[in-house]
Order: sequence, then C-alpha cells, then structure tokens
Amino acid sequence: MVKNREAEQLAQKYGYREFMVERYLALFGAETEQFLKGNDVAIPKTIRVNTLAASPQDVASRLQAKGMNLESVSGLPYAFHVLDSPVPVGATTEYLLGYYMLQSPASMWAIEVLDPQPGQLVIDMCAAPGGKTTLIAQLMENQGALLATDISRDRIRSLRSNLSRLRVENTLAIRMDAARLSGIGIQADAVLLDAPCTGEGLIPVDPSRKQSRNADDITILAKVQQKLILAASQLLRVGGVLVYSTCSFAPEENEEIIDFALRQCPVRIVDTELPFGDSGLIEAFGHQFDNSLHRTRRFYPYKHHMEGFFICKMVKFA
Amino acid sequence: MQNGKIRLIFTPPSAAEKEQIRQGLAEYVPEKAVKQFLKKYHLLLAKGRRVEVYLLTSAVWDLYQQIHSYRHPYFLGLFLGELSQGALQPSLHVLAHLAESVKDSARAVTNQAGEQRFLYSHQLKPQHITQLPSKVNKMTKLLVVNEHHEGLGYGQLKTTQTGEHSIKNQRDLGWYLRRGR
Repeated sequence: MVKNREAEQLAQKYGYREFMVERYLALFGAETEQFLKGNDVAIPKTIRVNTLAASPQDVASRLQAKGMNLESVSGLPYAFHVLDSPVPVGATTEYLLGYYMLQSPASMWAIEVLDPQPGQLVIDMCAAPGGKTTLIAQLMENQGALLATDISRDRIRSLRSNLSRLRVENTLAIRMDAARLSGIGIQADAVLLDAPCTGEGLIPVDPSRKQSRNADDITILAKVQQKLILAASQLLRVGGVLVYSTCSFAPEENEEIIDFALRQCPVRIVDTELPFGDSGLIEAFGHQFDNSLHRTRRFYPYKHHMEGFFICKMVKFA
Repeated sequence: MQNGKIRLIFTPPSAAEKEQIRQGLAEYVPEKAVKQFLKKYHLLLAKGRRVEVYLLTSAVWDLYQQIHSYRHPYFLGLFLGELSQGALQPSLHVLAHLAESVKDSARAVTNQAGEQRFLYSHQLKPQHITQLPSKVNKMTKLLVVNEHHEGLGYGQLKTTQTGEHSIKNQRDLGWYLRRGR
C-alpha cells in the first residue's frame, strides 16, 4: 500500500498513468524518480549521414555553413548530434537530396549490432518508415539484397519515399504481416526484428506516451512479438544473425520474448559488443529468465542520454 | 503500388517499351551515359493503373524471382519513373544518380534564393536563373539544378513578353515534405 501511494504521487508529479509508475518502482526501486526525471530531459536531435550519397565531412560542412551546431557521435562515424539549428533540420536541401536522415543513436546501434555486410541477404521485418532499413542498405553499400516488410498501408508509403530519397537500390519491399513471411521460404544471413512495441522509451521525445498506453497493450503486443520472433528464426540460415530490438522498457516485450525464443527456437544469445548500456534483466516481476539474457543491452534516457531501447543479438545454431 | 483491387502485372519491358525508356532518359543524359547506366540493371515494369519502371540489381532480381509467385512487391530496386502515353517520366530521384551526366542542353542552374523557392513548388523568376541552355525552345522541359549541380526537380521554360525566361515548377524534391512522408 505504501508503494501504491508512492506510485500515485510520482504518477501525478510526472504525469504518468499510475500502473506505469507501479511497474517502474518494481523494476528500478530507489532509482525510479531519477528515471522519471530523465524522461523529461530533452534529447538532442541526431542525424545520420547517408554515405550512399555523400560523405559525413561534406554534409557536416554544408550544414554548419547554414548555422547548425553539430557534434560527432562517439562510435558512429556517420552520425552527428544537432545541438542547435536556425533552420528546420528535416527540411533542408541536403535533407531532400537524401544526404542525411534524422535518426536516434539507439536505432543506429541496433544496426551496428546486426552488422550487415555487402552481398548478404538481409531481412528487415517491420521496416517502415525505413530509418533502420536505409542504414542497413548503407552498411551493405547498396549491394546484396534487403527484403523489407511492413503491414501498414500508410507507413509503407513512407518507407518507399525514404528508400527513394536515400538512393537505396538493393531493397525489395512487401506489404504483409511479417509473421507470415516464413512461407516465402528464403534463408537470410541476417534478420532485424525491430518489433512493434508500447514505445515507452520514446517518452523523452513524445511525452504523450506517458498517458497513451494501458496495461493490456503490453499483453497484446507481447503476443505479436512472440509470433514475429518465431517467424524471424525460421527466416534465418544456420549461423545467421538475428537482432531483436524494441523501444520499450517492459520486460514482457523484451527479456520475456527472448526467453520464449530461447525455449522455442534453435537460437542462442551472443554479445552485442556494445561498450555501454545496462545488462538485460535475469528476473522481473517474479519471473526468472535464462541467464544468458545478461548479454542483452538496455538503454535508459537518464543513464545513457538517448531514447530507451533494448537490443538482443542471437545466432541460429541448427 | 500494391492494391487489393487492382491486380498488378510485373513484366520485363517489350522492345518498344525499352526504346521509350531509353529515349526518355536520353532527353536529359547523353546516349552513351544512358547505355552505361542501364547496362547495370534488369528492367522490370509494374503494370496496373499506371506503368512503373524499376531497375533491379542482379541480387534484387534474384530475390524478386524467389518471391514474386508468393507475394507481389510493393516497391523494389530503383524507381526509374512512369511510362505514360508512350514516354518515360523520369522519377525525381533517378536523375540524382545521373546528375553529373545531365546534358547542359537539358539543365537550368538556379541560385540559392531560387533553390528555396523551387523546393517550395514556386516558379523560378529571371533573377533566380543563373544558367540556361544556349538553345532553348519556348516549352523546353529542363532539369533544375542548384549551384552544386544537384538535381532539385523538373521545370518548363517560359518566355515572358519582354523576352525574359522563367521556369514553371513541374515537380521538385520538396514533394517529400508535402506528401511523401
């Protein structure tokens, strides 16, 4: 009861639904208020230079000439934080020419973990609007083939626009439920499953998410995520890499899904090799998960100064 | 592109359609550059309400061959443009691939002030145009480029009563902000 009163007070103070804060208290304990405060701190916009069309140095020079104050992102040679800009970052000529994309570092790190290579066959299962898809194509140097799927009629239009704008030419996009994709019968070298999720990690950039979800959403989305990860495993060749990511803090959408995959599919977790981020949870809300989940990574706005995110890298062994 | 009501047919172009594609690009790019460019790809048409032309690398072509009997693509490879009334309307982005090869006779250069106007779908006035082809007809269709010679879109040349030239905006990259995303 004491905890509930604390949840009620914190929910009121920071504008959340009470059930969310109750969950955060169970997950983060004494750090909960720090976590909530961190979600109210603005995160600088980040751009990712599209090296298929231009070099990071050239794009940075042109944008700096327009008055943008840029700062390199450590570990991502094509990315810059936009600390300040007198012009709209998403409406410059360079943007329209496809020289860069607005993208969070967490999204870029997910693709770095996937590590797509030129000449491979890669699948992006929930691709629209295409930020991660176009980075995969960029790292593949427009070679090999990238199959991108999305179920949404509206969102796949954005995917098409972004593929064209960013000069991607190694992609084939299909509008369909990715959970049914295994029927196609292809075996990919790498699969990205950036699963649909409750999106709590995006609260720093979209505070409406403090109120827009209810507890049932987590349960509903977890079922979708289970179906998708089973399909993802079937789409991989033996030795292929599967990266699962979400922008959710909920263990039901992250560790619990991976734990399910470890029991149902011939996959094992490998290190993300990311030099930062918290280890994934081994236990949450009274559930114990596979020990190897400590190899997954969690990003929190209050600790890592980027959107909340979860990344897990797996390899298919049979 | 994919629509539950309209059945799309994917097919390689006929000889006549290939010629229309070649001619459409040759309006802007020298024949030799067109030939070099097209040589790298497989051509595929998606015929529905409109006829869309796609260029596919060998790897994307192979993937298309594997999946097309199971599911029609929504989009693939590089969108070259649309075939309409026997002519190719090149896409806004394909000429970015070919920008360096675009013929002087098919290109108008605009200054920075004109660049901003043009990307907001306005026409270019005489003071915005810094370079025009030496020989132009009244209705010449041009690729409009900025001072870095980057393609911004297409326009049609107009001549005023005083003999000055302006360029009517037909399509520009700002489309992405207005409707594309």
